[in-house]
Amino acid sequence: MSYRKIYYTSPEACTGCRVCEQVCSLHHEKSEINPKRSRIRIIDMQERGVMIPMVCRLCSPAPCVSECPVDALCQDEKTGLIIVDEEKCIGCDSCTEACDFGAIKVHPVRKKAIVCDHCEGNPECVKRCMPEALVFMKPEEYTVFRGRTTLKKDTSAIWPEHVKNANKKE
Amino acid sequence: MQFNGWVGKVLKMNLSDGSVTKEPLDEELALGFIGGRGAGSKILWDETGPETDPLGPDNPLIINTGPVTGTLVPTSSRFTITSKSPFTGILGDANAGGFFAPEVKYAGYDSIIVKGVSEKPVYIWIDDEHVEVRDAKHLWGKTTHETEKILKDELSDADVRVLSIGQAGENLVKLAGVVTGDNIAARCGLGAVMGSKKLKAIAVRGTKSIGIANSDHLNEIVDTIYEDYKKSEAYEWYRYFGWTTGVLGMCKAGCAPVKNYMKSGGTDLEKRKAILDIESSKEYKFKDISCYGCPLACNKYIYIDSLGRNKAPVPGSSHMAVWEIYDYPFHVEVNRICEEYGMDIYSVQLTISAAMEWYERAIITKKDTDGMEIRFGDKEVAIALLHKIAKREGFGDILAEGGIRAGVIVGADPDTTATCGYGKGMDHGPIDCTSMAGLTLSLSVSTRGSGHLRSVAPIDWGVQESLPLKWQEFYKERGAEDLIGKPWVAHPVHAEVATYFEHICTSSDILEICKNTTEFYYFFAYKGREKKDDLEWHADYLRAVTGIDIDRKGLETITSRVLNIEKAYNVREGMLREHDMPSSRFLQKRKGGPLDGKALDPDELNRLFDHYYKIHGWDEETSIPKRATLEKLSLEYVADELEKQYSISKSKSN
Repeated sequence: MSYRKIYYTSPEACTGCRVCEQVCSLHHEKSEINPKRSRIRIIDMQERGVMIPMVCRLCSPAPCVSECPVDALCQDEKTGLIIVDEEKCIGCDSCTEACDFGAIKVHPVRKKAIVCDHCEGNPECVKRCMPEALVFMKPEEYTVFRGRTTLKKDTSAIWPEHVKNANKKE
Repeated sequence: MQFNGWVGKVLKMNLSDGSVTKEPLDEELALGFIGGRGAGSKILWDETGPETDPLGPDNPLIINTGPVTGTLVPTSSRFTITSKSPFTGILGDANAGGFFAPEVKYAGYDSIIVKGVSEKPVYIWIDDEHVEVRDAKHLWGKTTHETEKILKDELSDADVRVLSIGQAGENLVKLAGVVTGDNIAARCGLGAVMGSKKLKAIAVRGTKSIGIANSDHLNEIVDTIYEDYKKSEAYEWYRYFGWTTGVLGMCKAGCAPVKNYMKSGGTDLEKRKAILDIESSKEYKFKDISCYGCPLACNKYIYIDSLGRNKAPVPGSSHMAVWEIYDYPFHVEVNRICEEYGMDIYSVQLTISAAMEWYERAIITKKDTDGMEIRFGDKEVAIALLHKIAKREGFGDILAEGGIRAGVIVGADPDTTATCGYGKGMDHGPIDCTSMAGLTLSLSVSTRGSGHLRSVAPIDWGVQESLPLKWQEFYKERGAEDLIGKPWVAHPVHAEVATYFEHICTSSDILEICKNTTEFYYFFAYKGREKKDDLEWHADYLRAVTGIDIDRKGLETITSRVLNIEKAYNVREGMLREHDMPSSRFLQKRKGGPLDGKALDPDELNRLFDHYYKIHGWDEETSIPKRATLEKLSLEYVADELEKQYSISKSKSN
């Protein structure tokens, strides 16, 4: 069973504008913008000059689900999404600890776990990503897509120096 | 505050006694001046006067965000720093994008006002409600990038946003700016104001929300705009070449200066073509970078073997040609040095190029310059001078005062420093406006000295070869269709165009939106423009985000109010019509290039200025705003004060 996921097209594609964080919080909080409550997050690796959008990877089996002490989380069979039962959730942060991607967190006001829900099947972040750094597709589609884009692109500008020099000599 | 958008709090600090107060945002100020540059200018009018020492404790450092900052509105990431400028002694403001302004708003403040002078170096740490003045001994003497890194490590959060000064600001160099990330609020020497307060940096972290009045409307607007961008040609340019796309047009039109304006613009087109960003981006660019919430991503990362990863350099039309150096990697290096020291690359360039001319004319010799031969085209000397200016060492100490003052100190002909500023003391960056009437007017009348970000029309600096239909008709209606291609003719239409763009620039500045997406820049050929012009878009943003009831006309009243209070501020400082007029070198005749042999007719130019002041309702003889004009904008208190100073009777102004 493969689920549609939010992928990033390449580490160079994201410009770090954080529109995804804004639209995510606007969509879920209704009339407020607060990127700290966004379900998607941009990891800015300033040292390397790379930005990586981080969002729920829909792991199966999902560590957040198995770590939840009150069984408030479950994984939807059809979509693979993590579903939070807000009545059961006690905001204990166990899921946050279990997630290696930092993709699930506890809402600072409501004290309930929040995680990407694909905005009813049409993720706002993907829709609004102007540099087209985000795509929403199945893993097998993504493999083909990634292969095609990599082939098309000239990445020589970001090669490390020794690789560049080696290529020049030829 | 009953409206959304504004977060409704002002943080006031006094470094002399370390006091911190949080006050609610004055609703009258917010509705009357919106925010950003507008609110900053109003506060400056209230709190300072001709007696205020720019580097003294009474001069406030006002950091203002706008109501749409940090919301989904495209390119709404900017803030304006306002203060009385130590460089010009009049109104000083500078703005920058990046990530600092949204973070200030997420921390719950619309503006930060810092007064007083600290005894020892300090930095301010704002973590939502928690505000603390901390010791910055370990940061003093560090570059801006180092400061930012140390603070992020110290506060153990890589997402803390930092605003800092480099050594230039610490040493009260008059050309110093304030830096956040890769962005610099450079103009007017406001880094020196921060340095005089011994304030090294401000670090912010915010976790609060910004309310949106009508999120459906906002979503609709953003969707339309994004769709329009995708269809527009300008968007493609920005994606690939960054914000310097129009520079080729400028070079062709002859707006790009050469050798401290001793040669005419456009005479070096062949040399320039090779180093234009359009060419160099193919070779060096590897990634687009954007400010907060910006779909354009006009900033680029470039990789150069000898320099490593760098940000693509900023200075549009200059290319260091004012020093007669044509070398892209060198250009990048200069840009980086200026950013690390926190210096305004425009003013620094023109100051050094003036020094080069003095050396060529033997006004200064090796004795004055610590043994350096400051010749045009010498890269090593230019870099050495940059270091000396930032550290105020030897000859650099004189240049650090800015071109005009340095010229007086060394006893140079004022003509050689004419490009470093007109009567109001501020240069307009490396733009050759000789024999271009529209450009001369719009650069000159700026309320922060002369400046290119206040009212210049893209038509005037020739960034595009063909005019959009709207502008062809505009010119035709005023019987000026044969003006296109004849920039040296001073026709009244130039004043109208300048006023139109003045409103766009002001409205962008008070909302704190980047001018790159307005008609002001290359987006002026963008298709969505036919539906609505910029002020209409801006009013739309305000309605969606804040919920205030405002239309195009209402916004135009506010921008006029801002312009008038700024003009009045300068008038109060003694800056009248003669200080607006361009200086000697801009009136010379062109030799070579596209406008060969052309010069401005001084009488015609004077009439153009007359017309400009008339449109604004300012006195044509002195350029003092008339009482009737000010009263219409509910600025009676301004009129009263100007009247006291210049004793203009009511009857005369009517």
